[in-house]
Amino acid sequence: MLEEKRLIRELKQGSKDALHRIYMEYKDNLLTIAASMLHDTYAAEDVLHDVFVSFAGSIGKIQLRGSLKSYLTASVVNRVRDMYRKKKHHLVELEEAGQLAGDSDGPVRSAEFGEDAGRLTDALAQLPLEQRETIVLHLNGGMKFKEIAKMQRIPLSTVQGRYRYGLDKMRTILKERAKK
Amino acid sequence: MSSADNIERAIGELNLTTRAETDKRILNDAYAALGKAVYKQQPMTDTGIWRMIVRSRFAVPGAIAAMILLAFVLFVNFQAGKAVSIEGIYGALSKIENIHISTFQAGRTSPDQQVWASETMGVKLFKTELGNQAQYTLWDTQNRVKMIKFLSTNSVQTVPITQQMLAGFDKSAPGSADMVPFSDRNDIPSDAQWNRIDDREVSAAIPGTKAYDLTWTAKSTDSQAAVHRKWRVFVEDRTNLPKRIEWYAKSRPEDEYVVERFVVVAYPGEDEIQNIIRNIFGPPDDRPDDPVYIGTPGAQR
Repeated sequence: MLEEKRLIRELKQGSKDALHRIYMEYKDNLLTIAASMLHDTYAAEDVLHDVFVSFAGSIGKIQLRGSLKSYLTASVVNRVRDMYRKKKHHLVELEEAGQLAGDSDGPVRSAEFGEDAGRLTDALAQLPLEQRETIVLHLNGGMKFKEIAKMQRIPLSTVQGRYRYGLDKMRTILKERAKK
Repeated sequence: MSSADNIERAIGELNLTTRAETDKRILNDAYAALGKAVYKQQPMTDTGIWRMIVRSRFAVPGAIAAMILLAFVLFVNFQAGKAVSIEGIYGALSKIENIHISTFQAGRTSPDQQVWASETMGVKLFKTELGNQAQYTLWDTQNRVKMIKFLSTNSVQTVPITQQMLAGFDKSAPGSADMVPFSDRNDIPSDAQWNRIDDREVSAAIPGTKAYDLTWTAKSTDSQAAVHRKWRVFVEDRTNLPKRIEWYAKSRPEDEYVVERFVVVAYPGEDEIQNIIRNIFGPPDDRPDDPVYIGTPGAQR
């Protein structure tokens, strides 16, 4: 666990070392979250870039109310949503993902996840964004349902529902693929 | 993936690693952004000549002497009650992040409007009372939601804030219309008079403050007749921030000014405003029909 308060204090004084330590601590996890949600590792790297540049650039205004990890994770999630909203990203919504999932030349660099994991991310990509987000935040981000509900400002039961339906759908997708 | 039943564990084990060139690109850009951010917030005392004086080992005794002299001058000025300029008040107001403004009509003991605003949280909460009807309106610009609570029925209406609504929303200093006579200090007429009130009875009305009057002549919006206006402000000694503001007007120069309305100002912490919102609308988890959470914490929008 990083000594977050001290690092933030040093960062506010312009410490590159503090920024480097924070980046090294969280970069892989944040990249995994973004890539799992976007189904596109290049776009995920852009998200990671934007999050850290924005984080460093607005350090004087930042007042953490929770942990630094939660803050950065929320930043990643919101950047991903912004991408979808602004349609800057090649959307991988349900219908489109249905085609992409079986296409090894799709935007995700599946090889980087490994073969099995690539199938998983393909299946993830076929879920609605809200379900995918809930699953990724819980399983990759290590966030509790209550934390996700608070972050997304939705009822706890909605989060639990999205998680359950999302996993059920993934099971179905993976079983169908195994039969082929 | 051998079994679909191990999905949770498998997803939890997903792990990507950034490439070295990605790390380099991100860190370089982040360092540059950090440098700019820190430069912007650098206090004047840590730049230029002041820094050179303080950090020079030869100049340390001189710097200490200068600081003692500065402290003495400040003390003398404090004792003498140095006058505050109207620019000083505008300047102090431009730096505040949280404010609570209560506007009273003349002769009323309860406010007809209250505004709580937090620039850091991106929220503005209004309480308005019209006759027997009272309501709270919350503009949460960060989360792009507007919530209205009708106290007569205890019901809450939630409306997503569109880009168009946001564009029309007053982003200037909260409640500025009741706070200052001119939104831009450059619009203050050149013949306006700025005077400190020497009447101790007036100054003593709000402890810890000094009272000032700004007087000017304006044209009535309907008849184009001249209206003589007075803005009386009680300024806190320590901060140059208004604690109370009184608005006066008269039609003829020989008449007495008549108070039209007055404003009581407080500067609460972010926590206090959060608590007020929570008490009215409940904790975020319980708020009905919230739109999805959007926006990046800390990002400038």
